[in-house]
Amino acid sequence: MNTIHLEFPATRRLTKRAHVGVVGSGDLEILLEPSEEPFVKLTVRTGTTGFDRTWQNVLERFFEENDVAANIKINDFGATPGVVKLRLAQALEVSQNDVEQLEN
Amino acid sequence: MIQPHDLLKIKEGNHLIEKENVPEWLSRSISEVRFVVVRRAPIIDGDVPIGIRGKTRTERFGAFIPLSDVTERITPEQLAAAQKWRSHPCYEDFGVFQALNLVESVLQQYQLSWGPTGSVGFELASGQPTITETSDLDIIIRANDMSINIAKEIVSAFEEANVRIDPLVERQDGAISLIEYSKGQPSILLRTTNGPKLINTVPGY
Repeated sequence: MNTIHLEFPATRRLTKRAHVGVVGSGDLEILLEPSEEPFVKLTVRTGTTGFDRTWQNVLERFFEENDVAANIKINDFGATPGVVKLRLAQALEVSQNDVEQLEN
Repeated sequence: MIQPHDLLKIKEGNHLIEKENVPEWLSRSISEVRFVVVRRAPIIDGDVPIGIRGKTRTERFGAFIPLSDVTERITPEQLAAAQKWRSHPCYEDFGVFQALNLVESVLQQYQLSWGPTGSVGFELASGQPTITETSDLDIIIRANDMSINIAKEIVSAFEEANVRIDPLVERQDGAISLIEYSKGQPSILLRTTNGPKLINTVPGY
């Protein structure tokens, strides 16, 4: 099992936790919790080796476009970069649905 | 029609089309095993997207093969129907084989067509030792209009297995995870031949 730690600056706060994805081939599981710190901190655990650079690129680009302060754990089971991006978007969707509900 | 997860036997002296640097283990797998798995990607000009397995989990390689180099096609459903696992030398030792029996009896109740994929499907088709004691069981279920309640019942029945079962539902528009679908969340991931996307779920879609 290969573990990758990444951290990017962030300003926007979230209010709700999210748990999306599946423990299954070609997929991944994302656990997101809002953070008080101005960072997004990521821990990626993956059975596939040799893709650290790809993870760095995919996650860096995603969090450049999506400013969220959060602690995020990713358990990967061989997901493609396309699946990784969609699952992250889904996690944000879940954690932001609640923000809208609070405002209503 | 060739579909994702089908196992193809390819002829000797085939014309493998690679777009990346070829790893060292590849030629052995191609010349000795000669079974490849169809990937979920478009078939363009008769070139079938395939995945090639090596000996270990990390040895996987994506390529294309001309349809004319395919000599045999085995679908996951054919593997389920043939039940070759019952005569496997490790039938008593590997948890996946008991899990296959469980899957078969559960899905028979719902009259659903299914088949093993992943390492189990590969070994059942090719005869090449691929399954280990820690193998999970990947399966596909063909269903276009499964209700969330049925999905829940099946997922809960599969939890009785002593290995992890990872069921994908293959629909006309792509594949979804049965486990994710059974949770009834508003959006789920659909894998299509043109890549993954998020879709909204409504009861019974």
